[in-house]
Amino acid sequence: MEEKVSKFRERVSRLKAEIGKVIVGQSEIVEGTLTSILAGGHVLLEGVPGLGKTLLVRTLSEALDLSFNRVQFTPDLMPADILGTNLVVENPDGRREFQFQRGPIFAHIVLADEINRATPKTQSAMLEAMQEKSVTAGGEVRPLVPPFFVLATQNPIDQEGTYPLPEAQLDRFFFKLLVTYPTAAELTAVIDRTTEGRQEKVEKVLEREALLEMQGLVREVPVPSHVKDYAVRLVLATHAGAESAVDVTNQYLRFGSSPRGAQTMILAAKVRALIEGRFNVSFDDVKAVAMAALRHRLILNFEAQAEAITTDHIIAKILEEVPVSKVSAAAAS
Amino acid sequence: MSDLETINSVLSRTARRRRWFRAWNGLFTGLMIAASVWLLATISFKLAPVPFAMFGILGGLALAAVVGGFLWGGRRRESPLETAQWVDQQLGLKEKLSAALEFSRSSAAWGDVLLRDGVKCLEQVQPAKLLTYRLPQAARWSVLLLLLSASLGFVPEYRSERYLNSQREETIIKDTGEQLSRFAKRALNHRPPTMKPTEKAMVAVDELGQQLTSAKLTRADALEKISSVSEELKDQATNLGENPAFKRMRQEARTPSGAPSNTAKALQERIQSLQKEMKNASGDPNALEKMKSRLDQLQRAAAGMNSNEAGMTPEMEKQMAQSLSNLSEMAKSQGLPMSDLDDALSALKNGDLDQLLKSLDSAQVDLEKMMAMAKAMQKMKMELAEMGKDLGEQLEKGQAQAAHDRLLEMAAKMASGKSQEGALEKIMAEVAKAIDPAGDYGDVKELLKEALKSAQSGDSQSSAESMRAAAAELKKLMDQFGDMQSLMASLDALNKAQLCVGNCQGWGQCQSGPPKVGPGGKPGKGVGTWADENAGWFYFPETKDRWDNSDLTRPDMDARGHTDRGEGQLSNGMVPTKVKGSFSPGGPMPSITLRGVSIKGESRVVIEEAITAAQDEAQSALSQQKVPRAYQQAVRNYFDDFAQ
Repeated sequence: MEEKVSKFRERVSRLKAEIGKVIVGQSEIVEGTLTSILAGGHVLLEGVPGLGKTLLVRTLSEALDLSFNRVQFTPDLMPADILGTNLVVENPDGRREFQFQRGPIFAHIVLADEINRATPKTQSAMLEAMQEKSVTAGGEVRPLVPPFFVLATQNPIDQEGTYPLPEAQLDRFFFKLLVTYPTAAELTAVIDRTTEGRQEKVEKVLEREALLEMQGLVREVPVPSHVKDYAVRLVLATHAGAESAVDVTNQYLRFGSSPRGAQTMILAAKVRALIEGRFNVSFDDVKAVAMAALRHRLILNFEAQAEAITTDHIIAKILEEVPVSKVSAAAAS
Repeated sequence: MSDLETINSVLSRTARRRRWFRAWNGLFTGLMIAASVWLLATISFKLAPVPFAMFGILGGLALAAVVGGFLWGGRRRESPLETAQWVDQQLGLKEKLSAALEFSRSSAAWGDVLLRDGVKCLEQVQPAKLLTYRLPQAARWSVLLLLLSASLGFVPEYRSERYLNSQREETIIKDTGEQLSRFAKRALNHRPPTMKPTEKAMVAVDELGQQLTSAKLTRADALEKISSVSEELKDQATNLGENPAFKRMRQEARTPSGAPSNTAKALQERIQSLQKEMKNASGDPNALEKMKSRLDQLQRAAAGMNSNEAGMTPEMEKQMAQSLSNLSEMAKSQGLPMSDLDDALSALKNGDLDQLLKSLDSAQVDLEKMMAMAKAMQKMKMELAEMGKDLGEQLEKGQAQAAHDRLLEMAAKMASGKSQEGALEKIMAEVAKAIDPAGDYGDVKELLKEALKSAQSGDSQSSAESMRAAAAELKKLMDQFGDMQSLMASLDALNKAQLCVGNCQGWGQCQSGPPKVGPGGKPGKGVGTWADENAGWFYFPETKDRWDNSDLTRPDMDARGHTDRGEGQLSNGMVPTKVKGSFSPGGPMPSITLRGVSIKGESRVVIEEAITAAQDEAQSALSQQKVPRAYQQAVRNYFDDFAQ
């Protein structure tokens, strides 16, 4: 087991190193994306244009020996453009028949670029694929080949002509990662790499089977009951009006996290524990992933929006107020 | 030892220490609670009239809080998993210990890995370092609170005027109750009442006393209860007082000789005993007073001679011997054998002044004793003279005891039948004379009539029987009179109790009844003409609430001893005048008498000697405050001039 964990760490390190050849800085985003992939979840990357979101996804697909498709979401994009459609084709016998033409969704990694520019109808076409990992078209269910990841990006500004993602859609994303501006040093490195004609070549360092094996290992990592309990209490603390809710929740939230929030936190915490070479999940792991796992699952009320309170503020407050365990609560009192 | 056992062993040690640590902290938390409670109690006591006993109860509670805190802190035994979680958090072990414990048995694949990982962490786990004993913050708070409580101990308690008054009232009521109860018990034990209603009344007084002592009553309630019992007693006393016999007996009781025990016989016996003690001396108090005055003069003269460096001159010796022999003769004429005077005379002859003084002192003591006995005997003789001479007089004067004794005496004589013819007639005459005065004594009159009738008819036995019956009737009346006196005394005590409770004064400060006249013609127990201002009509309660703006001078309101009388002004008639004169040795002298030195007649005394003697005497009188203050300076000046 120790060997497996060690191998896991090594693979992740190699993957990070390859990505690092192209992506400057953004270590949290890279780690978050990797965590989602290792846990088998989809990622929503949010950031202003030009921060390297698309480049990150493309680099990741290059580093992984997996099929990759990119869909540029536009308002006129139709569900069939993503999922595929039945076309009338002539077979070698000269007879015409319907044949399903697979859409770009049929890949291991799908980059849904600027996902919020498509209409809700088109966005919803992704729901089944993301949750069930299958596509139903023409009355036929077509499973997607695992692993399947949707890495979506969206632009928080320039809201005209955009369609905010529905809550159901958001909930299906494992993590929502906020891509921030690079630091001065990072920006200098970006300039150096992109303006000197130097082209780094990303090598494929992880095969599909290895990735599936790593995903399997993640599921096996033991989680102590009190850590699970903490994750549960964190999610319950987001439920406005509930007994377990903290003050900030009651004040600023309309709806709290779904059970997917707790599942996400535990899975992500397992990945984190393995990346750090530990054999069990700790409270710190849960805390570290809580922000990315919960921020898109909370729905703010009018008061919060009026006061420019973000879900990140609320999660930070919840992490501060919910004691990690009953033992620590007793010790504190 | 397996990995799991190693982990468990370290965790159990940690759990044990943690338990003690919690108990230690609980102890100080309990102490802090106790100190807070104590401080609150002290503040409450300082601000409000909380009973002092509360501190005892709170002391117990405080102790219980300390012990309870210790027990509460150490009550719970932690499971190894809980301890592991705690250690994980304290040392930042990323839940390695708790995970190892939890999955050591449930997950075989991961269990071993986790256990090995956990054992590696144990190096960091040192219970003694993790839990170091030191005084917790609660201890500092406790010390601060206890210091505050101790400082508050020096702050005087605040009590409202109203509360203080109610406390004073309560104490007074209690004290009054005790005094009443004690009085009633003493009266019941000393002289048990003969009549049922009187006994009931006395018991009621006792019960009232107990009620006042034990129950918490307001002043109004206490006064109401006292006056209710008082009314009952008054009614009873009024009923008894209507008996005409009691009026006479009461009058007799008021006279100085009216003590019931002073029967003629007893007085006679005591006079005889005193006479015997005085060795049958006549004991005329006036003559004794005169003798004492002369003896005093002799004593002073002897003292003067003793202090004089020149000693005793033959003239002085002669004079003193003369005086002593005169005094001795006076004593003999009074029948007083004063051997000390003879001793003094012989000491004078021997020139032994010390012995002379001693004998004179001894003679003076004897004389004073004799005078006291003579005065007592004179008083008793007067009392005896006041006694009725026969039954009739005794009944008329209300001397019931004497009459009772006389009746029994006569009855005994009648019953014996040994009396002579004349004596019987005498008795009959006495009885006949007593019939009218006996009218106020219930059935005594009728019984005396019967006795007379029987005696006249020659039935002396029946007559004696009637006399005895009359004596018994008198005895009954005397008992009833005693009851009435007890009732009156109880009423007095109740009045006093009413005064005490009403005026909120102690039992000793209150005086029931009208003020009694003291030796100076004024009420109270003051010295000489000074009255006891707190006990009689000179008592004016201290004015607190009102201000006297009448502009009247009230010397009686001046504090005692504060009156400034100044040097004193003599009236014109009293101002001493200097009369110039001259002494001519051998010539006639004006009648000047100095104690100890006789300078009557022709002057044979050296003038300086006489002056010195006079100056000594004046100085002694001045130093002993015998000279009134207003005259002191004049006397001093006079004798100073004399010396010049």
